[in-house]
Amino acid sequence: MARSVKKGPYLDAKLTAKVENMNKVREKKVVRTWARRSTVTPDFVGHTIAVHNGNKFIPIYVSENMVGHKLGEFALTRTFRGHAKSSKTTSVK
Amino acid sequence: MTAGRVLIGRILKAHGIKGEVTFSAAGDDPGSLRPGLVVYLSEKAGVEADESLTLRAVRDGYHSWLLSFDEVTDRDAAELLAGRSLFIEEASLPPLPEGEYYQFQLVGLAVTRSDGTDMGRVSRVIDMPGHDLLEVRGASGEFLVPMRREFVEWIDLERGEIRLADRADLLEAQSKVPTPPFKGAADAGLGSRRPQPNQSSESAS
Repeated sequence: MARSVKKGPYLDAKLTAKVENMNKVREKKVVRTWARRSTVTPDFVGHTIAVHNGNKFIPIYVSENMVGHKLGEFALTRTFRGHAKSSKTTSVK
Repeated sequence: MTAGRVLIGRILKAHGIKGEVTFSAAGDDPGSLRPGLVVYLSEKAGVEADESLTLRAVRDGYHSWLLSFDEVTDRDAAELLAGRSLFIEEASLPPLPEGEYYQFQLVGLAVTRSDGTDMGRVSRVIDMPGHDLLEVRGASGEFLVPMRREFVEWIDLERGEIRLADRADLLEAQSKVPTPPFKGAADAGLGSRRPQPNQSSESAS
């Protein structure tokens, strides 16, 4: 069942406060968090949040299309080791 | 499997009666598949290893790509290919636009900071839903670098080097944190680790 609209999205108070403080002083620093259930708000865009995956912190650079999703969606908890040499591509965005 | 060959995907199952097979591509875009391309099959028990086939046609199926080969002309032969991976020679891969790299090209590159400090080497590239991550292993341990301009200044394949931006906070955020002691640990005369189940049973007896 979806969360009640009346309550609004769940936001981790400590994480939100840290991001708001950084926005006030226009600082960009990697913030460490365990709050995987916290929703990504537009304030987070452009910040890098190191989300704990149960083992280590995964640095996630928040972009606009992540808004509305939970932080945990971007820090996977299971490791898939595929074939070492595949035709998958990557680029610096 | 022979070095110098690259995985392009996996054959799922036979399709139709003319020897076509459904194919799941490993990369985002199966642009490397073109008629006349020689592909190599993975090893499988009972089937000859390093078998090669020539691609006859590629077409878009409902949820996957449909491939046909010169050597496979009926469904019985196509069914034998199910579950096998396809490889091609590295030289057959199409060139990528500037700023885009095959993931295997980045593995093993030296990672440095702007002051020239050696940070280690890329051990693998991890696919994440938001962006890819470089896993770097060096003398100071293992850390992850997002494939974003904010962290990666440039990649030079010829020099075999990746230059990172000066972001000390990235490493700080990934440093190990000691496990906090649980409530009552001091009273129980225990350290920061919780007692193991077998330890508690021994102490109870």
